[in-house]
Amino acid sequence: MKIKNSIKWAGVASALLLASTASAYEQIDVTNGGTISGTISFKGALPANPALSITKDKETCGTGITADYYLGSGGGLQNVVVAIESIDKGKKFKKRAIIPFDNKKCMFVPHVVTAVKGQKLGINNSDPVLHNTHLYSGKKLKTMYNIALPLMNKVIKKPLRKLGPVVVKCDAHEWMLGYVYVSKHPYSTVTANNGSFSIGDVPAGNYKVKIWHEKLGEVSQDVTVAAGGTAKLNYSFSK
Amino acid sequence: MKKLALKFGLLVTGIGLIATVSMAVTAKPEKKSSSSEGFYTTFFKYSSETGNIKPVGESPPVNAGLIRYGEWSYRGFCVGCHGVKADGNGAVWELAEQYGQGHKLPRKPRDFTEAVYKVRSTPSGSLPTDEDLFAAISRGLVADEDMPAFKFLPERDRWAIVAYIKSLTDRWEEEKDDQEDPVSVSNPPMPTAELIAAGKDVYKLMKCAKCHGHLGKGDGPSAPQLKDDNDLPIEPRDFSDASMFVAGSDPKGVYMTFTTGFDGTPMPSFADFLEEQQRWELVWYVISLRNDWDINKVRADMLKANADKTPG
Repeated sequence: MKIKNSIKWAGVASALLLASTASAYEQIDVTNGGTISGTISFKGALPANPALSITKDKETCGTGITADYYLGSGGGLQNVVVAIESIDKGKKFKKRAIIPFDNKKCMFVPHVVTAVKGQKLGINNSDPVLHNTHLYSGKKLKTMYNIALPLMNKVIKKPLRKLGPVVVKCDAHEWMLGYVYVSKHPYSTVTANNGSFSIGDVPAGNYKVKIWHEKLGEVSQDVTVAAGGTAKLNYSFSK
Repeated sequence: MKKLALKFGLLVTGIGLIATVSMAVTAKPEKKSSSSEGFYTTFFKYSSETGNIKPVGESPPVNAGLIRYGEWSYRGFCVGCHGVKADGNGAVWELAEQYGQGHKLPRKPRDFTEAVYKVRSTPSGSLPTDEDLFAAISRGLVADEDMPAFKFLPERDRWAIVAYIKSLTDRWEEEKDDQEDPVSVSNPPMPTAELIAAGKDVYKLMKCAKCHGHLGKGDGPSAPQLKDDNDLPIEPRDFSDASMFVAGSDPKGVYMTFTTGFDGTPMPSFADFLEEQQRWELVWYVISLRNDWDINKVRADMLKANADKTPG
């Protein structure tokens, strides 16, 4: 049920994102760019993460682990994606970068990661058991890739071609859940444990910034970035 | 010419409607639909006995006319299961799911607007080739899908349906530069006891038993929780029954299945972890798990087939 809910959210999010898709991103030298930084937090105590029912491979996966939907400290919320919605040109990025994505103790590490369209996900299995990394995209969340990982420590690289939140699951361990948030530009990041984030080298201008959390949904905030300045963006989710 | 095509399209639609309605009403509601009687069985039998799976002639050029012709053919033959919107919500599916009427399909019919295809010659994540789609329409996915074979249709009609279902999504246009090449499969080596023994090790190494079970009965520890893209339960294949191989029960079909994976299902692609030799070992081990496995018969049949192919 919980998973279904998150999928619904992801579906809505990707639908919105697809609708706003425009032309390709142009890489330029950004001089005297500004910074968007701030903290994403949660009003009140963070909701409890449900306990996961570990039904197999207990010697590898362990027991008594909880989901990692709500993490953070001091009111800060971790694993929130902060991304400029639409920007046609800006800082350079490494198109050939490999985004590490590990299967470790039957959890995805990292749980949430951002990437630029065209970059590759470097999928690894650190466990001595069979995992399969099954990526879902599009508004109906259909299979994008489904890669078996029967052997340890061999990185499989797969290009990310679809925009929006890609949901990652493992059919062999039904509790595993992760996200790759794909943008067409490099102005996206994931909040740290204290909820803080920073996006640098932003050309001066007005932007809509998307704030996305797997369970709490997404909101859009207006931000004005001055040349060489720092624009503060703080947002607080509540239940 | 156009008029003729339209006329035939109407005829096809007529037949299709009758087919759809019959499918829906044949089985009695209080009885679980049986596969040993009625229109559905007759259609399956007829459709599996007539026609060719692989195209013999050239494929016609794709243009608006062919797509339109494909649309009419779709409305005739495909709409009953795949639906007016081609999203898999056809009458046969909805009637059985919502009202318990008619023939209950074991899987939700393909949603062509998403273009996620199970049986392909292309790597996981890539779209199928036109030939893959032609073959799927022709052969059907009879095993546990109840998608009948349509090889009795003229080739042009099948190519037209391919063109039409491809026109239902932007994916072919948007992802045309991202497609990975189809996997080419060589001729299988002759099965031997050594090959099969080696295949058993590959089966272990690839951890196939996780879902398919140690003896390939489809009863591995992860089997009960598996779901397809529609969030509906799906069971791993029981290898003991040769008739249950969706991508073909021949060595090449088995090779392709674990190499490309079945997108839209939990069956992943093992392409990155297997060498060519290991793949054939695995193929013959999986095939050797069948109830009716007879290595001598298979070898004799293969020798005969090879001899027939050699001229002189």
